[in-house]
Amino acid sequence: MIISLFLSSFSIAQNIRSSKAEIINPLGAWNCIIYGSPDLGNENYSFSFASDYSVLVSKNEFEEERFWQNISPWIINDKELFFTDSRMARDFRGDLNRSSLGGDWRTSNSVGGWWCTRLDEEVDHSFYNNDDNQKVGSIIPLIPEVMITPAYPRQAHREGLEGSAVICFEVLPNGEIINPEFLELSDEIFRTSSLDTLMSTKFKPWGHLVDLESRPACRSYMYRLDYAY
Amino acid sequence: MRSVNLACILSLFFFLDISNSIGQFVDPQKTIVGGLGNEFLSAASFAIIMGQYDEGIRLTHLGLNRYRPSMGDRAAALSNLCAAHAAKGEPDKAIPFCNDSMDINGRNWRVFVNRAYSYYLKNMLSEATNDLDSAASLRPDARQVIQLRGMINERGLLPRVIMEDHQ
Repeated sequence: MIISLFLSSFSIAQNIRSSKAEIINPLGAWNCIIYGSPDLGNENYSFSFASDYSVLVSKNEFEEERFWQNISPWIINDKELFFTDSRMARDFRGDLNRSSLGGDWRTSNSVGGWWCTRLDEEVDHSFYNNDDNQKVGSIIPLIPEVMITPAYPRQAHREGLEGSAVICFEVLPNGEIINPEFLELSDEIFRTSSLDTLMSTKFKPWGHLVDLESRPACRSYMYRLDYAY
Repeated sequence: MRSVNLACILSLFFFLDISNSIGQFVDPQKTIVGGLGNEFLSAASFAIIMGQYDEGIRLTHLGLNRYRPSMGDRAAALSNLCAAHAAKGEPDKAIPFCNDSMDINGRNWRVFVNRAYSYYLKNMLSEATNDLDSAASLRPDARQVIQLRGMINERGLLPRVIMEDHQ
């Protein structure tokens, strides 16, 4: 059983690698930000993708117990990962060409995005697939220690351009930001100011409270112009 | 007809000239030489180009009174008066000349730009935007239109950036 599981896992990994050397292998656990839901706001979930094509999900909440639940099978189609959170009828699509797992999601009436970093945790899918077994975990909220508001790009101001940017990144236990990645950028003119400001941000160190893994987070910038006359 | 061209070029120079302070430049290919039909208007154009606005205004008035300019020349000369007064920072004097010029020729985009700039000086940004839109409808790619649009936007649009963390 273990051998067959290992072989099938190896086979899936091989298939993924053979289709494109650089694409992300989703197998394993991921710590994810899900944003854009008008009802739920920002959500922090962990996903675990198994070689038997099952997906477990666990909501990360501060000082709360978390439960791994089986939500749906996952598939890869043309460098894109698809799975569904059947509890909320939310369809996820992941772009495996990115540097880290993430993409967009949609329900019948809303859309949003998600972005993950690797979670160094092994999840026994057979255990959680069988019943409502649970796993305890907790997450400390990220608190900005230094945060700077970006300057509106002068050229955009002169041209009357509005726009937005969404950047996802990892936060090291010492509060520093690494690996920023633009998920949305309405206009190149907003790239520099968004990125410069983000990289000037520092979060309160949190690693000594839990463990030494980096954590995913995203920040959105909305550039708006209001008429003064 | 040549003086009309001269006056139109003058309008162009005017706006470029007043824009020098914000980094514009004068196109050297549009050098004006003397000896055209209405000597006063020619000299007035040159004076305004050189930044001698008072002399340009005086000569333009002479050109309008001592000659019998065609309607086209008259419209251009009035536009120049508007431009010169605006360049002097006198929008209240400039705007009536722009209005008179528009009454004669309502399709001169430079007059709209000149009046838009005059309104801009008076901080009447809504009126300035309306005139600039009219100028843009006649000549959307004109450098002066784009330049003034930027100036109006910088003064009239308040920027803000909303940040939101997702974690």
